[in-house]
Amino acid sequence: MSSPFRKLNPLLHSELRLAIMSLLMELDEADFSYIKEKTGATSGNLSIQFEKLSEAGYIEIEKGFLGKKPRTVYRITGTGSKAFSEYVDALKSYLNLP
Amino acid sequence: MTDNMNTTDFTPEKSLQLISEMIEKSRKDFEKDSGTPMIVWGLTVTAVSAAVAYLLMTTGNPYWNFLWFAIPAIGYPLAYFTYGKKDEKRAKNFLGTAISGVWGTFGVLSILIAVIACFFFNEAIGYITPMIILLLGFSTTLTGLFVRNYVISSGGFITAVAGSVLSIAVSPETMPLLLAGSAVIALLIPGIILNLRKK
Repeated sequence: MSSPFRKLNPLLHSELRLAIMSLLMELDEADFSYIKEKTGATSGNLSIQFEKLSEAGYIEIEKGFLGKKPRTVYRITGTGSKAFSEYVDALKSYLNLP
Repeated sequence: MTDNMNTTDFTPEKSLQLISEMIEKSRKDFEKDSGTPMIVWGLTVTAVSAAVAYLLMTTGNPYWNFLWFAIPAIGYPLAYFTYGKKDEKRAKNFLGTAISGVWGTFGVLSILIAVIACFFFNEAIGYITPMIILLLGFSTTLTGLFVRNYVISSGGFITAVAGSVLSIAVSPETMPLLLAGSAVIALLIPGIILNLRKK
């Protein structure tokens, strides 16, 4: 008999990565300092998670400059958006949501 | 929420709560000060329009119409110092981009209409004011619809319709007063509503 619970994507089922993805789902793009401020995570920890999400093709990273200051911008990709929607659908199976 | 936001697994309930929390955080961020640009431009348009009306009525000299260009000349520096400086957007969302696009288009079209009107000078005032009021009302209606505030969208719609119709009835000298009134209904009041809503 198959389980009524759908498997949760392990890459998204982690507090900081899910927070990053939730923010980026709502935004067209955000830079490092914005995400750092909203998540309250340390720079080192954030960088590691960005790298993991980027390797999976869930986000794209654009390095550039704002005036003379370096600025890194993050955007969710189509693959990331689809994975997030599937993750939310899977969550519903645990919480008995329609 | 510092390093408690670690990478260990957590419950589905907590996941859902975190998703809602993050979405709410980013939305609130965009609502903050969203009415300030409308207040700044509303005050500028109202003040310049009232000044043009006063000068046209007291002197009867149509060259005072050149004072309309004080709107961008005062408005843009004022916008830069009141909200533009801190507006180096660290994040963008669709709503913000759409609203900026609507008002940016309104600004460009209004300046373009005013420049074209300079070629037809004396007669032009009778045509440019209704056009600008119509565009102003349209832009406010769209903004209200985007932020789902029907007081703002209704104000914009009333401005577009009533402002344009009334402009047929008033004299060229008093027409700037109509624009001043439109700026109060379509810019100043919606701006105040938006800023009060975030609190």
